[in-house]
Amino acid sequence: MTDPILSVADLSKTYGGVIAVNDVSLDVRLGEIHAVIGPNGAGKTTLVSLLSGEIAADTGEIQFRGRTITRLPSYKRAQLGVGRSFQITSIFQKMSVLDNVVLAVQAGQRHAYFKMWRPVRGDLRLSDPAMATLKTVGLSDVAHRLAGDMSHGERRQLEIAMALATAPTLLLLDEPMAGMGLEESARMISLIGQLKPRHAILLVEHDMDAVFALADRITVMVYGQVIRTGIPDAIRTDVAVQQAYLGEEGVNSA
Amino acid sequence: MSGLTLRSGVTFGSLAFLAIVPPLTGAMDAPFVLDIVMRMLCLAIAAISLNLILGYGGMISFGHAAYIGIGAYAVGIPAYYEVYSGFLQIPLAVGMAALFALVTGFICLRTRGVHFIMITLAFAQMAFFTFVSIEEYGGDDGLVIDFKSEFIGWLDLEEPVTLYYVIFVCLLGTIYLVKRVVASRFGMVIQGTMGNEARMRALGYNVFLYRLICYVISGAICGLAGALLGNFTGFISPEMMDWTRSGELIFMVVLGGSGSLFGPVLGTAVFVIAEEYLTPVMNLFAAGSGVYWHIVFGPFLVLVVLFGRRGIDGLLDGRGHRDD
Repeated sequence: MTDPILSVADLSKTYGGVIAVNDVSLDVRLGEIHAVIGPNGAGKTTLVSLLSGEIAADTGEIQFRGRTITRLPSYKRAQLGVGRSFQITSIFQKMSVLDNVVLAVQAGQRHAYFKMWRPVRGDLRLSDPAMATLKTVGLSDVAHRLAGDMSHGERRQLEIAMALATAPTLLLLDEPMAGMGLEESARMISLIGQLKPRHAILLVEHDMDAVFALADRITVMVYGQVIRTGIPDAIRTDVAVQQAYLGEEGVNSA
Repeated sequence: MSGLTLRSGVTFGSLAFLAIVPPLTGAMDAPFVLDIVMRMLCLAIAAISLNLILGYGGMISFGHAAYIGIGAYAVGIPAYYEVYSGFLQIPLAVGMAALFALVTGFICLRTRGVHFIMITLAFAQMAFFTFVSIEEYGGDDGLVIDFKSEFIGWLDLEEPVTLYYVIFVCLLGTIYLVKRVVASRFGMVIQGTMGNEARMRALGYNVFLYRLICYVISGAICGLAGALLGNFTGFISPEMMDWTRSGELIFMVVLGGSGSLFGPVLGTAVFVIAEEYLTPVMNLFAAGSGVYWHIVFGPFLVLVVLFGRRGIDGLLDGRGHRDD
């Protein structure tokens, strides 16, 4: 098997007396979806923020494509190829859908610190890739709508489109199905499936149907700690996992 | 967007009107009106510069008058040593303002919200008291500029009409510059950081650096406004950078519509007209009441902000009520 794109060793983060993430180790390979599941408050979103660099780890190490990025600020990690989506939709409501993605495409095209003269509007180097990304996520029809006017499902799609448009190697998806209906979820599952071959994907998700449909490996977190990592079939039948997490919903339904 | 909207009509109408103010006031023999408009134009440039960071970047600077003062002193101090060359004074004004923005921005931009407001105010107060304490340049009494900036006989700024058109051209240039910057990749990033900073970082933007560059550009433009204002008044004092002046600039931006290209010009116009004419009008109704023109102007501002959240520009756009 190929070397992991992302490997995390003994990562910890403490808030006051609360250990949000405790000694977490995991890795993600190219073409693989590694799902992280766990009950509310298990530290999944904190883990994503540690990986993206929004918050700094107390101890442990994060390696991305063989390079240690533990101390890099989030924008530098993003420039190296770490893309993330947010659990709480973080789009630019007052901009058009296209401009949201343009902003993401532009971020992937090196710095624009002094590109202050040429208008963005009509710049095909930005709008072409942005439209292509919108097509991938199925939003090309609403490209010129105001992002704030879109439905919840469409916003979630835009959320993914923005993470995608920077052309990242690693995608950190924080609950992409949050609040979605059955039909929307199914579309999102097929989208993430399409992205799999060319990305390493870390998927945090509550929707068990989605997780078992997509994941190659699953890591189960409880109270900040990893209790199991394994292939879906092993996780499904694991007694400790059932007790800690799946028990409440019933494994049989999944 | 298509054709002549109310908004673009007002923009071009206002600019056309401003272009013919000198012959108009000449014909009416009303030089004081020309003076009022000239002061308005200088402040409009300052308001546009503030709008660049406040309206597009969400950086609410409560110390922008400091840049006006720095620009004005960059004209006044050389003039004090009998150096009148505009080729030195103007770049000095822009450069010193940019430098002040760079140094203070490096610290201010590490804070957000109320802290940013307070720290920009603090730096402006430091500039204010620095000039108050320099006796050589008049302290708080200020400094008279004997001769206006000289441009080796190309332009005679002592001639009010010439000075007017120089200021007017600077205003046009500033509007065009901000229009280009805002529509550029750089401008997109600045507007994005106002919308959602965490997302911008997650996309790979060094938010701090973009904001700092924008802050420096804004300061530099405001320095130019100060240099023009110094030339216009012929007298400079620390009072130009008083904190109330910074507050007035925020008024002008909010009144006109923050985050709109031409709004700050309209806001400045309304502000200056109110400042000049509310007093005599109020005195007509009750002698001596004009001193308290703020009593009328304050509620007016409150109403504009409440009912037209995007200021005058929002009303012109017909989307004034839009709650976004």
